[in-house]
Amino acid sequence: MVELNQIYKDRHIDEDQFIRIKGIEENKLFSIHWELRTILYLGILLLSSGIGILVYLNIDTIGHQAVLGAIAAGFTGCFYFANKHKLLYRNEKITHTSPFFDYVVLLGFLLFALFIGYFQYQYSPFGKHYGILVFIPTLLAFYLAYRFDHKGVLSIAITGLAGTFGLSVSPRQLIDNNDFSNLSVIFTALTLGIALSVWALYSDKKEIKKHFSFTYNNFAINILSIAALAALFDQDLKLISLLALAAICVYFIKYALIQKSYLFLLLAVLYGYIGLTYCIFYLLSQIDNISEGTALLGMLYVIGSAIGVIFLFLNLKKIVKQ
Amino acid sequence: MKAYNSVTLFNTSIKRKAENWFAQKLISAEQREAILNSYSTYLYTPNIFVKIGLFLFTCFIILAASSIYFLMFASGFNSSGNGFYIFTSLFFSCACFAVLELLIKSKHVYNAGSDEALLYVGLLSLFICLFTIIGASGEDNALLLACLAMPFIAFAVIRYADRLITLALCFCVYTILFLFVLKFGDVAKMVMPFVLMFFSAMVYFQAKKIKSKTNLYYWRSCIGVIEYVTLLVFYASCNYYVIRESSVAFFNLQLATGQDIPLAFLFYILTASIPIIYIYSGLKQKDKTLLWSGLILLAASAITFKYYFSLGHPEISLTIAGILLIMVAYFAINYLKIPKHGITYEEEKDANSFLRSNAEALIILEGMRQESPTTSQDDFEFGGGKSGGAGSGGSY
Repeated sequence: MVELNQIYKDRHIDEDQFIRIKGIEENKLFSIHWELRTILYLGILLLSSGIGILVYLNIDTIGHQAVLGAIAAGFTGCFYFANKHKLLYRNEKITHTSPFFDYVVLLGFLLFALFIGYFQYQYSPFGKHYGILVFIPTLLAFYLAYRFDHKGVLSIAITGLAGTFGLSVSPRQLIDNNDFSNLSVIFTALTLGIALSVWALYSDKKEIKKHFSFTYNNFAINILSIAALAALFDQDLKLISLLALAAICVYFIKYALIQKSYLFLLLAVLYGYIGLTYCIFYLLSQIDNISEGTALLGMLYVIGSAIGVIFLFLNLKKIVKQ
Repeated sequence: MKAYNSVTLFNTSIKRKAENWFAQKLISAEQREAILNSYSTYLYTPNIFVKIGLFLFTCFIILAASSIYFLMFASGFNSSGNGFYIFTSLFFSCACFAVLELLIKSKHVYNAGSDEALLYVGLLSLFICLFTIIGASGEDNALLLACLAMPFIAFAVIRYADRLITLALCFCVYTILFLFVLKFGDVAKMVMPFVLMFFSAMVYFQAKKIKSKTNLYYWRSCIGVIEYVTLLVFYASCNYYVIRESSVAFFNLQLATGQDIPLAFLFYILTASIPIIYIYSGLKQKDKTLLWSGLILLAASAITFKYYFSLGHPEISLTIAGILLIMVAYFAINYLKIPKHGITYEEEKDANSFLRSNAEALIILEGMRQESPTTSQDDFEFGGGKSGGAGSGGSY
């Protein structure tokens, strides 16, 4: 309101406009979109955990087949709903009219994954081929993500794809659950990361679901950088790992500047800085064992480099323009 | 008094509104152009991620600088006792504020990460200095510390209008109030909840009244923080669980089994009704602060009642709560398909929906992690094993 009064006072708009905008601003609808979505999501979370515990406690009286049947009925119902309300596939972003559509697709997929897992646990039809067990839901997840334009399911699909190759890449598990001292894990991670970012680049060019490339690249930058850092820390391939890390950072900084996506800029700078700092301190520790002199040099390096990074951030606009 | 140029801040807001009105075709392209040109804004406020980067790297610099300081004067640690710490923290505080002022003057940063880092570290060192002077803990010392720190924090809020510092100020004021009332001994036990409620209500209504004043525009976000804090404290000071547990902790209340706190009935009613009143008036007054406080506190009330009246079947409570929430959301969404009473389910268009929709995907992934077998790690050939070999932060 105060803003409107100011530009009216400075004669940028005439009186008709002033009255009109004032009326619109005063009668603006109050949107509780995110509040209701949060409640709905919380409700689904509580309900699914509640039912999960109920089933677990009463499995003796219910019986496995009944539970499996109920889960199957659940996901069939969800997919039936999704199929009935689906829109025609297009490469652009599609927004479905029903506010529940996204949740139903997600619920259907989760129930399907639960079904496969339960089935395997009880009857083990796949024997020891756990890869297939993960791969089937992953395939379905990719299909659902593209067909129904669902970013949440896409994230699960990428996680599943990594799981097929024995990596866990969900945000909190990336560092904790992977044994990066194993060289083959590092190579798997690097290959997967490159594949994801190449696919993102390709779909950007071909305009296939362009809004998905954020999700792909977000996984790619974290997987790639952490694998490269792990190689740098634990393996004897210091120089190659550093070069790989540098290439990753340069690629994503360029990507960030083109897309104006500052999350990638921050991540690339941070990962690169961790790598560089590690190398500097590694070299310093090679010169002589930690003494006051080298510690002082190290601290001076931190100050100098951090000032450099801040300067880079502050003058970002000028750098981007060039 | 104000560290940042408030006219420029106001101009930024004008420009943002003008873009909005242009998007809604309420003003013409020429008018937009004229507005954008005639209000100057030279303050630097970067994107949130750049801001995080600036904050982190400023902290690195401060950390490294203090390491060098301690390396050079390491001998001072043992020899000169408290004096060394008092001098050092005061020195660091002054240095931080000096650099902060310089940065604002020369680079015109505003909410840019660097300025916040310097402000927080500067105030924190000052607080450490006061703490070292006053020394050992205890209720009287805590009261003295809060009283001494308050003028500095209040000054920082007035000058820099920072939200986190406003939160610290609220904490400080409530600490003083609480410890002061505590001094009255037996009377305190009875009046404490009502004093806190009365104070919170007073401050809340005052804050709400002055929020939209033009000359207080500079502190608008701070007033928002005060609104949240007073709403939450008002509720907390009459929540049954808080009263019962704090009576035991602070007033040596001995409760035999089956015995209840005085006025228990009143506090039950308040615990149940306040969140609903918040939500109702939030919707009525179209006030997001009230609405969100109400929603969060409703969950707190549910947990409070569950804690004392548990039926011993958490799974049934979970299921029923889930069904209730889904039903509320379902009926509300259907009811609001056509906007009613000025409320709509339609998403606000000027909000930053890109960030939100991507954040939602990540939250889904985190929330569903344990339920989907695709990510269970134990079954795979390689992987598993918690060696944590990466040691991501090892180089600092």
